[in-house]
Amino acid sequence: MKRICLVASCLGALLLVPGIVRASPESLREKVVDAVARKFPDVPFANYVYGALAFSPDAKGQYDAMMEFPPFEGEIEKGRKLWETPFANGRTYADCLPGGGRQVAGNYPYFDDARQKVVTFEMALNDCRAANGEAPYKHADMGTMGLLTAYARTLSDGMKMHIRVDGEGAEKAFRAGERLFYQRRGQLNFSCATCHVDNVGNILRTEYLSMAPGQAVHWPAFRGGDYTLFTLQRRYSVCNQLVRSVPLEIGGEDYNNLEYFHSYLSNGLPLQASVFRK
Amino acid sequence: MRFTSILCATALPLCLALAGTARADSVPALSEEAAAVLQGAETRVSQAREQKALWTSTEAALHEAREAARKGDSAAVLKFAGQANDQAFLGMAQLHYPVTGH
Repeated sequence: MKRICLVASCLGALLLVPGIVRASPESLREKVVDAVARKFPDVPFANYVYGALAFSPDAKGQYDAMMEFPPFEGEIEKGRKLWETPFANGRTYADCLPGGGRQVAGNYPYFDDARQKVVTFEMALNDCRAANGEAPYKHADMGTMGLLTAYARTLSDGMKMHIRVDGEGAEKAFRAGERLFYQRRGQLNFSCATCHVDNVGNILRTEYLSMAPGQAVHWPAFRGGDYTLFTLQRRYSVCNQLVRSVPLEIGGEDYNNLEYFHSYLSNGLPLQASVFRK
Repeated sequence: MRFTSILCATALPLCLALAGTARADSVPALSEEAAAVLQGAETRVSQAREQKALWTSTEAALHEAREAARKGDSAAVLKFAGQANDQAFLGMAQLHYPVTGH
């Protein structure tokens, strides 16, 4: 009896050791969403897609006015031409993706068990190019990959983000992304969570800090000023620079895992690509 | 007149060559200490880069140290290479900080 109690006590103690029992992806997501909801009970969950705009009715009004006649429509049109122009063999991107590429982007990134790595939407487009004898686009090239996704992702507007974490490999990639999200980086010693979980709604550098749930659904974005096109991973790169950390590779494993985790936090929220952001 | 022309034709290149030598000689050599600290910083920054733990401020400090070395400014090399070395170390140590609360 004493031995049974001792073993049970030891097992109980193990539960208190960090890392031994981890929150499931869904409970982690719910915890982050609840943290935002407790701090801002008047902001509906659906409005998390507006990020910092959700905290300023004036900014949201300007955004709505801008989105009636977006000044970057010409760039999206360039993306449409890239999407619709057949490859040398006559096939198109629509031939590669389920549903002709419509209502699919919310399933990306996903974990490919065969390749044992995260596959982003951009990687899927490059896979399509490779399968049809075309050279891949560089992920950091906004003039090609940026414009292509600026249009291609609009075909999934309204689709709810639906990222899955099934299996050991997916769990490992998810945890790697989670660690990167919560890890302090750069001379300023911030993690992604420092701003976008712990300080949501506070003002830094004259701007409200947006909440992490809802961030991944609205890329690429055209940023204020000269409407420069940013993919999500390009934004990661800039955020890293802002905390004085040398950015990691756009399209590399680290950012792909981060996007996997980060996108999961937005599960259930509708996608809208190619929007304006300050 | 002809003698004067010959004199100028030979003297001018000689003067220019001597001026060039004088300019090269005016850049002082780095002190042994500065050279060693710079070498150490190069190694430490390279390690931080490999571990994906490099700060942009570290890169900037190393750049300043290299520029100072080109000018032979040992004091500046010591200052900036020291910063680069320290920050590269901190960047790598940061990888082992506890993650922020969640």
